Amino acid sequence: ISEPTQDDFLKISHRQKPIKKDNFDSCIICDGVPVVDAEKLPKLEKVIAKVFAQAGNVLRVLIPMDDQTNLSPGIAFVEFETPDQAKLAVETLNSYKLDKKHTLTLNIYSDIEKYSKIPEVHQPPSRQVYTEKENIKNWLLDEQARSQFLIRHSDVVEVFWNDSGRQQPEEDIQTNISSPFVQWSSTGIYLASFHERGIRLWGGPHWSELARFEHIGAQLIHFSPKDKFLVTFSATGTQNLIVWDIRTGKQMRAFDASFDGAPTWPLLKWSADDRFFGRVATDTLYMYETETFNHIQNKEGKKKGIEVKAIVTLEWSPTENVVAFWQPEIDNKPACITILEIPSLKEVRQKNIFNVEKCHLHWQSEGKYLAAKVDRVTKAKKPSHTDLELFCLKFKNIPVELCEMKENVTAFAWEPKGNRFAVIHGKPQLPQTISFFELKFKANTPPKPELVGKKEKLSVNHLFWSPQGRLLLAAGLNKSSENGSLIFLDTHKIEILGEGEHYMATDVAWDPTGRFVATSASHWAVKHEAGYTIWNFHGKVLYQTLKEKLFQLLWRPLPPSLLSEADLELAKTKLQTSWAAEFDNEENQRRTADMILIDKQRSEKERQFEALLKRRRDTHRAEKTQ
Amino acid sequence: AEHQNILARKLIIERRKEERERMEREKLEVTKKKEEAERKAKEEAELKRIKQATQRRELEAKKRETEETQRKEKEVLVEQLKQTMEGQLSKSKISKLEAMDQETLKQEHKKHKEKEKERLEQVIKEIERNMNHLELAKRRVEIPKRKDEYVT
Amino acid sequence: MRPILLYGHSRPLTCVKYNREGDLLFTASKDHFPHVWYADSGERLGVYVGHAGSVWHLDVDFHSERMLTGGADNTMRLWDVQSGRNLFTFSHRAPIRCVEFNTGDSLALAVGDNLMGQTATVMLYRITKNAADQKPFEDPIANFGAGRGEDTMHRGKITAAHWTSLNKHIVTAGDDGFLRKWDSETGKLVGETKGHNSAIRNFNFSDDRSFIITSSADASAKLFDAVTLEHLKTYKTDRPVNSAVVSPLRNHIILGGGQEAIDVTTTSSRQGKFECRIYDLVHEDYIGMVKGHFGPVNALAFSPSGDAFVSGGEDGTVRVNKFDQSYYNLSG
Repeated sequence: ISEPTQDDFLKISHRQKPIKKDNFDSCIICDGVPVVDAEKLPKLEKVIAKVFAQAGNVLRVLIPMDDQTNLSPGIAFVEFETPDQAKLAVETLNSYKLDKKHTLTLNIYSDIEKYSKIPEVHQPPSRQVYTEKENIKNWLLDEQARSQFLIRHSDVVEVFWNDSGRQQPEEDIQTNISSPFVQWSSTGIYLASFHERGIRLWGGPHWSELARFEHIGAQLIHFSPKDKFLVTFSATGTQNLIVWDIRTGKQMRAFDASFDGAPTWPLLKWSADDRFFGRVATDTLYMYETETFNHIQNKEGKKKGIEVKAIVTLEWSPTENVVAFWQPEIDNKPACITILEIPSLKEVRQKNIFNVEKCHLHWQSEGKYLAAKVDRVTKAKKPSHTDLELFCLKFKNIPVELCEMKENVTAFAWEPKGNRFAVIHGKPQLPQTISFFELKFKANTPPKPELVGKKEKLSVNHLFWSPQGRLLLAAGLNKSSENGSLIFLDTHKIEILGEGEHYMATDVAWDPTGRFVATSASHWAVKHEAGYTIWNFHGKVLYQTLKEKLFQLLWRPLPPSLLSEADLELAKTKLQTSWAAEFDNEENQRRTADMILIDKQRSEKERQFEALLKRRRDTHRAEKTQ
Repeated sequence: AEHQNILARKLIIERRKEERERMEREKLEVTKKKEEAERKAKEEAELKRIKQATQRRELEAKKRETEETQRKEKEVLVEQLKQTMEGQLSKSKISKLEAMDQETLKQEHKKHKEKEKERLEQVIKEIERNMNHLELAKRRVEIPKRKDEYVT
Repeated sequence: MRPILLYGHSRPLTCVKYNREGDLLFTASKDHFPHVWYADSGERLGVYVGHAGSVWHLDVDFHSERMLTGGADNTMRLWDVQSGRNLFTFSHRAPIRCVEFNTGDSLALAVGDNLMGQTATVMLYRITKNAADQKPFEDPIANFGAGRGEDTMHRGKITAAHWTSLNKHIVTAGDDGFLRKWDSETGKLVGETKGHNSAIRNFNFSDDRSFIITSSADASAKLFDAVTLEHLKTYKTDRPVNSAVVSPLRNHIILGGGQEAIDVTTTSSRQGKFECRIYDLVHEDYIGMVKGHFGPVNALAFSPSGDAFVSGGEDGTVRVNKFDQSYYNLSG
């Protein structure tokens, strides 16, 4: 039997009239049910009823029979007592494996009706198979190793090469992308644009459309770390959180999601290798694997959510399949930070913490450390100060070091690929101190955080590490008192390399190679001063411009390097032996060529103007003598 | 007549007496005036002396103060110089620094600040060059790999 | 360069102008009294008393004998420069926006605002040797725009009008962003171009009247061919431009302007940007700036020799900026 079409559903539902219209929300349609004859029907109904009893009170199960074949059509209707139960059933039992051959696909009945009522304009999801064999990573072949960035002003998107030597960005080819919002994918290969009907992905040397995903009203998206999957969220409808396979364009799984409890985007958290993703719900941690998009097995061997009382946030290690989360104090049990191995669910470390108001978890970029920034409260529950609990993942039993700040901490950040971290602390409303700590190793003892330096009396509240480490930009943003002050630091020598200011700046970002910084003031925040500045790492302005209605400036991320340790060593040796001089030479040649070209253009312009002047004077003289 | 003589003599005596009294009075007045003037002069001199003394003291205090601030300033300058010259400091240099007067110290200070700035610029230039070169070298090694990746 | 500051006006400046020799400087402001100054010393020579409202514009004749002024009191006035006597008053029914002698000083143009039920018009008058022979305002020798179709006249205000060389044409600019060229004898429209997308606030000629430089609310100044009205160059800035002038000496132009106080969103001083900016005439590059005013720059003028320029500000001050050696050392 072929897959029933949506028309079939309608026919069936019209013939059967067991379901009152106002109950459609509490009724679900279940696809993938085994096809049976009339004899086996009652048994199947029982099985189905039993499965769905997990989710709520099942009023009835209906499996209509096809009059012509006398077989069931492979679908079933299940009516629950309340719409909430139906919703829960779809959420928790979607993709339920009835047996080896049959997996249930679930939808709320009213949704199906709603979608089938959408008139002809609704085109079936057209999957754009891109045939042209373009190299979608061609921007990585630039010999000058320049970075790209995009700016969006109004709904126009422009992509630029950041050319530091020319001191002005060079425009890439026109994108033709028009969107009220844009976003790079995790590895920078795709550029996502937002449209009424869904999301489009662009890329390749000509910015052609690589894929599109039909999701009406999609307003938030999120790429998995390896760019295998795309998550889209729309505020309307149920099943409004969808996971797509980017390459096939297939919808892999959908969830009902709302922002009622004010969880922050992204709602789904991915493991670094795209194999797992987790989702935090009330007292439950849902963990899925991406082979079947089903739950991972819990400790009882069941494929369903894992009960974790009052779970708040979930953070994956950037390298390992390990998650960290914390639970606030509840029922006289102390607050607690847990590190869990996935998919084994082995608790690798757990630590109770006391007098906690809030806790933020920060992984170091290589997953070597986890810092918990703990905002403490006094016994009387008044906010007091901030401490840092440092988990050392690479040591036996994962020792935890306490780093007491005794002061209010406004920012914390790990040095990428390093053992250091920086903290901005101080009394509110006063100039702040940046302290630098290092986890120092001594033979066989767990590393201890040691203060290695500090800089005082700075008007800053944000920390931005260069992705390469060592260099750090501290900035004062979003406050009138410290509006746009920028301090460029070398953290190895604890030395200020330069200072700058971008008045009213709203965004700060390092280029992915860690050599340049872009600061921008978005039209959201400023009307007349919208624009951006490109700085080098020590605070020298390379390029500065005002741009009307500038909303976004985004550096294009880089995919993981293909270089092995050996390759890196090779590059370094080559550099020392011959390449350094070569590079300097090339650079000089480029600059000279640039200068010659500019000179030529200028004199040409002057020549043209002189000619015009002469013509004008001649006619003028002629008129006068008339 | 004798009576008249006596009367006349009496008159003369009276007159002389009066005359002497007047002269004495005058004399007294003159001395009084003189004393008064002397007293006044003394007082004025005293006042002047006190004034001068306070002035002198003030001046001295001021001088001490400026000397003190100068000394402190010098100390600060020397201290700062010592810090910036870290690593290349010897005893003789320190004593040389301490022996310098204000102006030369300031000059020295300015010189060191410039030197420090130059040094930082040099450091930055070096970091910049190295970072650029490393990025270029990495790219050069990576490009053939990216091309292979595309073909496969 | 150290500017000479001229304090005298109590309200925002509207117009600054050198006489032909460049020794006298005439200024008009929203206070009612045009001033005349020694350009070199900044010493005030005199004040012209008569207007009963803001003075929008002025012009001085070839020999610096007579001056024309136009103002918000609906009058154009003719003055004796030396004595300060008001020789004649032309009474209109709307404010007078611009006034100018033609070459030869025989005719004057006056631009009336589109206020008080009037349409924006350009009117021409014969200026007689003897003020007693002067015809009244109701009797112009030509009147462009009044009663004409909306398609030819500017929509909204005419913001500036000047005679072209040899008096053959009059060029006007308006709030509608258009530049228009009229035959001064027939009053016919002979050319037009949409120069800016926003209002043109003012325009000036280069010293030989071969180029027009416009200043616009769209934060740019543009150079046009005065004969063909062809657009040649654009000088972009980030603030509305109130005035722009071409140097008679070098290939430079100067722009002045700034956000009006009412549009400035925050109180920070840096929001204003009230400097005069120097640009390269040919390459459209920004060269440098001269700071000083505490409000938008409303009016600019180059001295006839090009060794100085004067700026009049919303802050009520006039600044005479004499270029120093570093200006002459600039390349280009």
